[in-house]
Amino acid sequence: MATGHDDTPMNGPADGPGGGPGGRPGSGAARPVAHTEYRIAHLEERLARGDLAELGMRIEARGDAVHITGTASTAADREAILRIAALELPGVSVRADIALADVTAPDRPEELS
Amino acid sequence: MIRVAAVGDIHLGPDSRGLLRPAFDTLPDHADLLLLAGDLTRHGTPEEARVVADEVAGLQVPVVAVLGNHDHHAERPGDVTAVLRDAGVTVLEGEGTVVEVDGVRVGVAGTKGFGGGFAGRSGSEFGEPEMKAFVRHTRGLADGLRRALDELAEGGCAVRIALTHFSPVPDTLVGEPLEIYPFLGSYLLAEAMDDSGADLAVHGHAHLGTEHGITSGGVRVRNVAQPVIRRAFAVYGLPVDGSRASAAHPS
Repeated sequence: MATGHDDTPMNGPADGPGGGPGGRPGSGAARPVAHTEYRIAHLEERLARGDLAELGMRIEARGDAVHITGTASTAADREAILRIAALELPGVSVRADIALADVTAPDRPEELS
Repeated sequence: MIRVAAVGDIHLGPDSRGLLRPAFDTLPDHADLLLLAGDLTRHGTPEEARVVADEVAGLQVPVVAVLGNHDHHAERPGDVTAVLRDAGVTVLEGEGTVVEVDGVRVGVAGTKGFGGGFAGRSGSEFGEPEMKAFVRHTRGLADGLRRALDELAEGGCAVRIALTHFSPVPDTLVGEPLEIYPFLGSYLLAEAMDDSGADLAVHGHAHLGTEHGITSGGVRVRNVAQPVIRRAFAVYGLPVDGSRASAAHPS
């Protein structure tokens, strides 16, 4: 599990999620963070354009992990979201808190005055 | 008391067939009509619309719907509308419909609505053609909503409800990232509701938002996106006194 405490600003991108080919020497610690942001944006695009048409997840970088929160229609949808996230964010710790939609009738109405 | 059931953003596809029907079958115990606040499908295909149609076909309460942005994705909103209408759903865009409940005329005016942002923080019809078209689209839909609400008032409706997919107010977006508010709704929708008057405004679209809000003119707003209400539908009881519906147009 990612802790988010081991990448001081001077560590550079070597072991971060954006530390692969293309990492610019001496560019400082901003690059891993920026790379993660772009990858989150790409994940959001992929979720929206794919079979799920999923635009309702909140996906954010927290420390050196990515958090996904929201509500999925079915357990299968939730699994698909996590599978796509793993494909789009290899090497990144993904923490998910995705609830399942409740499809029961309400207990009571709200009476408006 | 008019009992209004509402839900939006059910995003049905072939793999979710039958998901909501057990709860919908209990609707006569809970409500006098069901409103569907858009994003009924995932991609807006006729095949997905048929899943929605099967989910509501033959219900013992009238069903009134607007489409959402997902229902436009395949660029076949006419086909989606036709499939829903074949199943008995009244699909609104810039028009109204009247449901009789125990002799009371309940009017529902509907539009998908669109984005642009909220008063003081909104886009303008200025600059590139794309930007002008964006805001003009919202303005045109809001004007259609205003006309529909006016016609329902002229038609003697004791209760009027504005049904949209996009939000008329920022209140019900709380929980969404502030940066995307302009993509979630427009004050032009609220302005139309306040100009004409309404007893309740129902919308969806903002999955991470909040259920309760109110327009500047005092129209109660409810975000019924299914992830927000956390049920198959929400039910709102509206008193039948017509006070709000006739309170518009301060001279």
